[in-house]
Amino acid sequence: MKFTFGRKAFQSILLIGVAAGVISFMFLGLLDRLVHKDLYSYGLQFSYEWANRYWTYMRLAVVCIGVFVAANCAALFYLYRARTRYYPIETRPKPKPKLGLPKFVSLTLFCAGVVALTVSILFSSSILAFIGLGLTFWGAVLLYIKAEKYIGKALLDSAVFPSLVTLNQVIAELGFKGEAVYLPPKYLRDFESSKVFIAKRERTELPTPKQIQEQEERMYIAHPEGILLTPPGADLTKLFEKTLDTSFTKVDLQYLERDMPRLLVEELEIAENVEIEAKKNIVYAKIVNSIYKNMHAKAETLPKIGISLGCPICSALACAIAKATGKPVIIERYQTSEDGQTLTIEYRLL
Amino acid sequence: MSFPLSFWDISLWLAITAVILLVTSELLSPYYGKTEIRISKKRLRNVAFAVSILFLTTIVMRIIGVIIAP
Repeated sequence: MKFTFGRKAFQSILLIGVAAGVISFMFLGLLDRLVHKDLYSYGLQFSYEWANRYWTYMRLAVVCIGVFVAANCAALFYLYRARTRYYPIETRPKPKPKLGLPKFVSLTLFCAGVVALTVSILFSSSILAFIGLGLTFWGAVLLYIKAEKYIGKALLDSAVFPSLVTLNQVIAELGFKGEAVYLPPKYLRDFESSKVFIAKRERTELPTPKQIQEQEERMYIAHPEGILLTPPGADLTKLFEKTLDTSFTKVDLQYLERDMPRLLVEELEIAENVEIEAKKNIVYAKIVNSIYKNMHAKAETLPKIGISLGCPICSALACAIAKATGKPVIIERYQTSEDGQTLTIEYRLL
Repeated sequence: MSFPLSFWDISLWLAITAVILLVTSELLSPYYGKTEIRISKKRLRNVAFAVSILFLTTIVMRIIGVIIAP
């Protein structure tokens, strides 16, 4: 089994190292105090014979721990810089966040807890200490687990569906009859972007990477005749990559099989259950109770989108598979269950 | 003037808090279809694990204390 180590996990370990180093300084101080104060009362006799060695070891220990803490801090700094180079921090000043009710309640709990803890120390009251500990802890937890910005499902459907309808109309009216082929990075100048190629005629041979790269900036390409589009799930793929802190160009299909279900269910909470399975040149995906489930049913009514391009989540998976395998991908089959809860997609690698 | 709770009081408090957090985290898991609760469940799970590990650390300290006690 391949064991991967994320940037965040690495940063956490470095932080633990820094904390351990700082605590070691404290313990060294206590040890020094034990030798210089307490041990004399147990009969320790001072002599430069042992004191010189003791001071040398103690200073060396302090220097070593100092170097360890400094090295960890430097590694943390470089990791942070590497991160901000790829995802630069916005320089535009952000508006001051409002103090909403949940934050107000959390802060009140936290402050009340701190007051109770202080009073418990002053009056040596264990009941107040328990109350203070509880309030402080839950105040901090509520502050930490506060909700991110959520939007309603209905709003999601209403905002995305019209653009799919427009895309369907454009493809249908221009008479592009070929299958939508999700292109792998070798076809594109920007490896991180995603494009889909739809040929003018059915059974047209896929253009070469050079042909696509030469005409990548254009929507309509001439040789062979076809249309080059940004797929509906292109940005969703970028969100997946950002959340996983990786690029799908650097991973393989096994990684997608293993990590995509966790990403979609646990991290992004897009679906209740996701299964991805690869068999030879076919990749099966099963998505249960997705937030896009209304969109799946609607997308099936659009002939060009439903089967060929797919809804945003199917499209995003196709982009991810094309990037991970380095092969062009088409959506072979797209089916929703009778109750509309389960979506089954079959991708074929060309 | 000293902190009125002993190490074992804190350990007990950590145990109770860890149980509450772990059960809450499990009940709110998106695997049960709870995708509409507006809290960061990943963070809740992290807190639950952190508190559980703290509690287990106190238990390890107790075991070491029992073993090395004269």
